Amino acid sequence: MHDFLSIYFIALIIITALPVIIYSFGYVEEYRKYYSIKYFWAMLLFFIASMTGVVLSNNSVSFIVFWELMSVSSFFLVIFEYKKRESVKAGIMYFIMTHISGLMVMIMFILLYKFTGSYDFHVIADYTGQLTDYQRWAVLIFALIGFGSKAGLVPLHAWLPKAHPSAPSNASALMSGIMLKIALYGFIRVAFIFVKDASVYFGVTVMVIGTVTAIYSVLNSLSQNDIKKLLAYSSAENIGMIFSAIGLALTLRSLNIGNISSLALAAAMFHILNHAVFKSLLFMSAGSVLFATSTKNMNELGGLYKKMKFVAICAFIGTAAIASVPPLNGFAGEILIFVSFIQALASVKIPLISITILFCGITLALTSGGVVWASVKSFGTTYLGEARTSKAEDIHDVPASMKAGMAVLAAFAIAFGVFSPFIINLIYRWTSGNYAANAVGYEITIVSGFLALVILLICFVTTRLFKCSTTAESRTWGCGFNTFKPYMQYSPDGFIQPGLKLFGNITGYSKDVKIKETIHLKGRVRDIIEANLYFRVVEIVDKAASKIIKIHYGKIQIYLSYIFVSLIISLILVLKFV
Amino acid sequence: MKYILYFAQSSILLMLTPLFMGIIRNLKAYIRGYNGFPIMQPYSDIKKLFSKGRVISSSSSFITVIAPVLCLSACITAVFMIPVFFNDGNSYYGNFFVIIFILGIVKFFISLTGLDTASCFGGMGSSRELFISMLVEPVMFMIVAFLYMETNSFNIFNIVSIAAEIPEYGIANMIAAMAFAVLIVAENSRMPVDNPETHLELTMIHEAMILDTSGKDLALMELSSYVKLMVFITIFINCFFPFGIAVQMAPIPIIIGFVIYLLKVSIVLGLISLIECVMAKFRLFRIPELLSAAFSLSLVAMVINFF
Repeated sequence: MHDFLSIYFIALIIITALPVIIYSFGYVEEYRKYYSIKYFWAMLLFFIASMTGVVLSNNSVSFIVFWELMSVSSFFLVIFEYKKRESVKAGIMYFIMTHISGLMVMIMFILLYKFTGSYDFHVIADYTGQLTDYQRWAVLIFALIGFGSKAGLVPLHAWLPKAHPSAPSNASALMSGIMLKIALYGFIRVAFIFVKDASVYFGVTVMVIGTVTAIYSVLNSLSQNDIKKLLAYSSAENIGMIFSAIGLALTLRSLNIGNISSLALAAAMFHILNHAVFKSLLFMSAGSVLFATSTKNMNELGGLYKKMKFVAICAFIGTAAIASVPPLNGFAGEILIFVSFIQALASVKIPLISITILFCGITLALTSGGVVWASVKSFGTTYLGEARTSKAEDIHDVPASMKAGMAVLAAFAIAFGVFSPFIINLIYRWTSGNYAANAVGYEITIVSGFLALVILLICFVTTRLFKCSTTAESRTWGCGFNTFKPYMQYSPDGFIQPGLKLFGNITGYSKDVKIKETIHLKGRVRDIIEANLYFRVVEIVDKAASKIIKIHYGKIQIYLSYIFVSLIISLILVLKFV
Repeated sequence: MKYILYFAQSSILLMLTPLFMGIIRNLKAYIRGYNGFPIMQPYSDIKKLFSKGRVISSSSSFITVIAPVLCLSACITAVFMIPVFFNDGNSYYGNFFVIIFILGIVKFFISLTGLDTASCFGGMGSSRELFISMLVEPVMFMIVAFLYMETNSFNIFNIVSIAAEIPEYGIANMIAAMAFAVLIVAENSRMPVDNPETHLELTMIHEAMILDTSGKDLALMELSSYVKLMVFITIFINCFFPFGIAVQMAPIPIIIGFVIYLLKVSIVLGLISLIECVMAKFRLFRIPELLSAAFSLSLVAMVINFF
C-alpha cells in the first residue's frame, strides 16, 4: 500500500534489519562447524524480504502469500539448530501456532471479500463503511485472534518464550523486533483503515487483553533465568502495552473523542518503533553473550563487562532504553501511553468504560515498574559483578561486525529518545489526519540538552575543582571472610525473590529445598497458562484420538467401506448444498 | 525574566538542600532529647567527602564511575523543572511525567551500583529498592491522574497555579495528599520503609546500595538523595497546598512566598522527623500493605472528586 502506515513500517524494517544483517556476518561464524551457513543466509534474507512484502502488498491475496512465506521462513530459522531436540520441539510448536494465526487471517480476508466483493485494499477500505455491526465484529474478532496470536497476546503467547530462545540470536532479534510488529501492522490496518469504527466493547476488549498480556508477561519475564526467555516474555509484555494503547484508541474513536484517540494510536505506533530498536539490540547483546560464553543462564554468568566492554555498553544502552530511562527512546513512548490513558480518563463520560481505562492504566504503571526490575536483573547479573562460574571467565571477545551492528542500534535508541517529539508529531499528523497538528512540545529534547549540560558541569566541577582527591582500587569487602567468593554476590534467583513471594502464583513458582550437609534451594517457574490450557487441549485431542483409533481394524474391506460411505456422504452434501 | 526567576528559585532550593537535611537531623535530636550537631553540618560533611580520596572495588565497572554523576545531574535537572516559591502559571517545560521519569534515573543507576561491586549487600539493597519502586508506580500514576483530572494539565506550573486558585481544599485533596506523602516516604527511603541511619544488613535498602562508594562518589550520591527528597517535598507542597505561592513578579510577594515556603517545608520536615522517631521500620513484606493503603487512598480521592 502506498500510504504512511506502510512507509512507516518499511522504515522500521530497514532501521532494524540492516544492523541485524551487519551483526550476522560475525555471528554466523559460530555455526560454521556444525550447520550450513548458506541455508541460514538464504532463510534470513527470504524472511526479511517476505516481511517487506507483507507491508507493501495492496491486496489480500499477496498479503496472505507473503504472510505465509514469512511464517515458513521464520520456522526454518527457529529450527536452524536442528540437531538440538529442543529447537525442533519449539519449532513445531511455533509452526502450529503460526498456522492457527495464518488460518484466522485467511478467514478474515475471506469474510472481507464476501462483504465487500474485492481483494483490493483500496476497494475494501471504501466499502467497509457499509458493513453491519455483526460483520464488523466478525472481521475484527478474526483479526484479533489471527494477528494477536502472531504478536503473542495471552493466551496465544506460549510460542514466544519457546521459539525465541531456540532460534539463533540474530533471527530472534528479527522475529521479536520486526515480525511481531508486522502482525501489529496487520491489526492496525484492519481495525483503523478497513473497519473504521469498531464497537466500543471491541476496543475495551482489546485494551483489557493487552493489559493482561502486559502484566502476565512482565511477571513471567521477571522470574526467568534464561536471558533470551526473559527477553521473549518482555517482548510479549511490550506487545501487550502496544495492544492496550491500540484498544484505547479504538474505544475513543468509537466514542468520537478523536484527538486523544489519535494520540493513543500515535503512542502505540511510536512504541512499536522503540520496541523494535531496543529489543533487537538486547537480543543481539544476548547473542553476543551466548557467542562468547556458550551459556545464556544468568546464574552462570556475571562480570562480563571486563571482558567485553563494548558489548556491555551497547547492552547497557538497550537496558536503559527498555527500563524507560530518559532521554532514551523507551521513556518517550511510555510517557505518551500514560498521557493518553489519563487524558482518556478525563474525557470519557461512561462510568464503566472510564473505570476500565483507569485500571488498565494502573496495571500498565505496575508493568513499567516490573520492566525496570527485570531489565536491571538481566543487565546487572550478566555484565556486572564477578563471574559466577568458569564459563563466564574464559571467553573470547566478539568480532567487529557484531559490535558494529549493535552500535548502530544503540545510536538509534539514543536518537529516537532525544528527538522523539519530531517523530511523535510526524506520526500524530497521520493518525489525526491534520497535517499541521502537534501532539507534544519539544520539551524532551530541551530537557535532554539540559541534562547533558548538567552532567558536563558536574564532571567539570568534580574533576577540576577537587583535583587533590585520589582514586585507589581495592577488593570488595568480603563480609569478614578473608577471600571473596563469587557465590557471595546476590544471585539472579535471589534478586527477584521478593517479587516471587508476592506474585509467585502468577508465574507458577515452586521451590524445593534439600537440607543435607548444605542447604540447596531449587526454584522452578512454569507458564501457568501453558500448563493449564495448552496441555489440557493436547490431552483432550489425545483422548479423542485414542477413541477414534478403534475404527482402524486393519482389514482392507472395512477401509473400502469407509471410503464408500464417505463418498456417498460427500455426494449428498454436494448435491444438496451447492 | 520569568525563566530567570525560575532558575534563581531552583538554585536557591539547591543551595538550601543540605541545610534542610541538617534541620531534619536537629529536629530528630530534639525529639529524642539530645543535642544534635550543628545545623550546617551536612555542608561540611559534603565538603569533607569531596576532599577525601575514593576507593573503588576492583570488581566494579563503568557504572560505579558514571552513576554518581548521573544521579546528581538527574536530580538537579528535576529541581530546575519545578516551581518552588514563585509560579507564573506556565512554562515551556515541567511535564509531571518527565519529572517523575527523570527522578527514575536515580533509581535505575543506584540499583545498578548495588550490583556492580559484587557485594552481597548491594544486590540485596537493589533487589528491595526495585521491589518497592515497582509497587510505587501505580500510586504515582493515580496521583498524576488525580492532578490531571483536577486541573486538566500535565504541566506542573499549570497544575500549581490552578490549584492555588481553589478557594478551599476539599477532602479529596487531603486524601490524595496523604497518598503522596506515603509515596515520598517510599521513594526516598525514609522511615517506615527504610531506615536512613542504620547500616544493619537486615534493614537497609538505600544505604546498602551505596555501601561500597566512597569519597566524592559518596558525596554526589548523598547530595542526590537529599535533592531528590527536596524535589518530592516541593512538589508535594506546591501541588496540594499551594497557598501563599508568589504569582506576581514583584519583590514583596516573592519574599512572602519564600517565607511561607520555608514554613511549609519545616512543617513537612518536622513531620518526617517525628515519624522517624516514633515508628519502627516495617518488615519488607509489610511495605506492599503500606503502599496498597496509599493506593486505596488515591483511588478514594479520585472517586470522591470525579465519579
